[in-house]
Amino acid sequence: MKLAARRGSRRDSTRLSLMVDALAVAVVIAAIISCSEPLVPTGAVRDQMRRPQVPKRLSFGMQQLPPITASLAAEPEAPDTIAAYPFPEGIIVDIQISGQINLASHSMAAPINYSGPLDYRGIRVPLGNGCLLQATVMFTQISGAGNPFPNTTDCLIPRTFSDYTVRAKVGGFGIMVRSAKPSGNTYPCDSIRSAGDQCYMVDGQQTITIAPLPAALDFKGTYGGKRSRGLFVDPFVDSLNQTIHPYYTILFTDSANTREKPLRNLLHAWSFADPSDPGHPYWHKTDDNECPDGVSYCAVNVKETGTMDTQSRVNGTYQSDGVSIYCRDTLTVLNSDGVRQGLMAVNDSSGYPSKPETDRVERAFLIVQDSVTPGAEPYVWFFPKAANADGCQVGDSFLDWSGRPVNTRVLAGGHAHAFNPGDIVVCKDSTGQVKRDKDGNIIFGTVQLGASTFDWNHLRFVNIPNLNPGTVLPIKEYAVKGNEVLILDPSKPEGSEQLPGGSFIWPTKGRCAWPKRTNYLPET
Amino acid sequence: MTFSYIRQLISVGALTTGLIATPVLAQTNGACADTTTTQARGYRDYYGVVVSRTDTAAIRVRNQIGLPSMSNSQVRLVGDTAVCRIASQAYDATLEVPYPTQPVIVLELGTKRVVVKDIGFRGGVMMNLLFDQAYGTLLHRMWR
Repeated sequence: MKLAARRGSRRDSTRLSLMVDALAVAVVIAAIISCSEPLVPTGAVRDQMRRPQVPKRLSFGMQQLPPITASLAAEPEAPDTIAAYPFPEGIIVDIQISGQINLASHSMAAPINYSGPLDYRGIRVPLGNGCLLQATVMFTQISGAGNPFPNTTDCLIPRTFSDYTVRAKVGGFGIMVRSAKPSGNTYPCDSIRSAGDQCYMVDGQQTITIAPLPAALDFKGTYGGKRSRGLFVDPFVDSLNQTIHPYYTILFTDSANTREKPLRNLLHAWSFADPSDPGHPYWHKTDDNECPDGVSYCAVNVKETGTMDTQSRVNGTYQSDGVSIYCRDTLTVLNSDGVRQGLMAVNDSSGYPSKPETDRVERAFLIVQDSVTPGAEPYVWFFPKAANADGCQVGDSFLDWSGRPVNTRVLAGGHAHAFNPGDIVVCKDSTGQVKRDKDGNIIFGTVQLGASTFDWNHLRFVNIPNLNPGTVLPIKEYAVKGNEVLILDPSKPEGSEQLPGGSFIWPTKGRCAWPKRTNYLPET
Repeated sequence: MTFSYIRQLISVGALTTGLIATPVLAQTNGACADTTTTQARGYRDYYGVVVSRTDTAAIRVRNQIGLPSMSNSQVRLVGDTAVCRIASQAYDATLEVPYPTQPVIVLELGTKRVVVKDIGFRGGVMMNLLFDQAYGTLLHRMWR
């Protein structure tokens, strides 16, 4: 790209005023755009926006808007819009101006020759009072650092150049401007230009990069001094559905990680674990109007299990998350968000019961716990789907546990069951083919009750001392199908998983139903 | 039980420690699998529970399959070689996929018999056949 720094003119002295005028226009446009965004939807609009517009958590961790890179315009004194961040709360960005140029002068102009890097300050030319090729970026909203690229006359060469980067909280429109002509440098450039030539010739490139910082939504609930994505409270009801605790007051907070990142909540919505439950006759059901859209902090009287979903804009990125409220269980390992969501996700992994039987596949998992971080909650980690797995068996994928996340101890193992007892299915042979008798008839059979021979053999296998380092023996295994979990205990005989206490069923109805978040990914 | 699985068991010494026995694949001269192994006892324990469950879901499946209702202790492992040979022949004749050298686990459930033999299904899946006590009539085919 060739950049031509044209000869100075009478307009040189008005360069800054033009820039200010352009900025003023941009401010007005940005203000219009900013104000056109509804701050908090109300009434019917809000109701329409409710659940359909709350995407479930798709991923954990940092997200960021892509960086914007632009070269300064060939007509450098004309401001160009480089970015638009119509976020009233702002966005933190790193702005960098850098370049490599070759600068030469007309034979009749004051001589200068320069080849090398260029920063935002530009280059002082002979007879000039200002800085040629000085660049700046301005936003309609800016805070913290003020003008990140203030005017300067410190542009003498030779000097040490370095890419100039500034971090600022900005918003609205960002425009880039470059001074084409140093003020006062009217002679002899006027006469050179009138002859149709250029006073200074510039080859090279000067670029501006605006890089928004990554940020993560940190949405948590707080109760009883614990702040978490999953909170466990004493059951709302007893086994006879009689109310024990009518409600708990839970604090929900949207914040950014890290906290200085701008955040604006857009939506809060409560999802009932059991939408059909009528709730308490007097206290009724949880009212998510207690957590209005737009607030980053709210206290809600939660009257049954469920998930508070949120959608927020964090440093310009739209992110969603959910905090689930559970009833505490007497089985300690179940009092973990990662374990409960993971167990519910087992069915998603196997395809039970949504997929046709021929498309289902048994899938293995481990319940692991970070062995380094004190107090880390256990969670369900899934083995990759085995190539030879199907609805009859899990395959060879979970014999070796060394592929689990590093620095984790194994608390339990398990796998999905993909069929119901009584289902009539076909299982494949060791080569992966359907087995047939000598007349070519497919061999099929009825799925039996409980756990299989392989399940129990595997349980004994993984309880061999020192086989899987990081495993505290004895270890139990769980077979999950629907909301039923068979417990395989190595201290008990085969079939014990069918006896009282040998299994549990997680509730899907009532005020203590397990709330399921879709697209759940375990927090590690 | 897959052969790869067996190899892994052997590689860690599971077989030699006796923690996991694999009687169905073991080469024995008799037709009966060793009734003292973990797996054979596991089958007895398993069917002992299945026939003695009293919950509705279990009764429904049991009736569907044709398994009897009885006490846990009434389920017995058969160790009589002559009986096992008959059971093995009935098994092979039923599926028409003969594995004559494979030993069988045979269980008595009152007047019914369960015969288990490894005929090479993937992932350790076993086809369990339910016969009458004369092994003359197949009553049901079951995966376990």
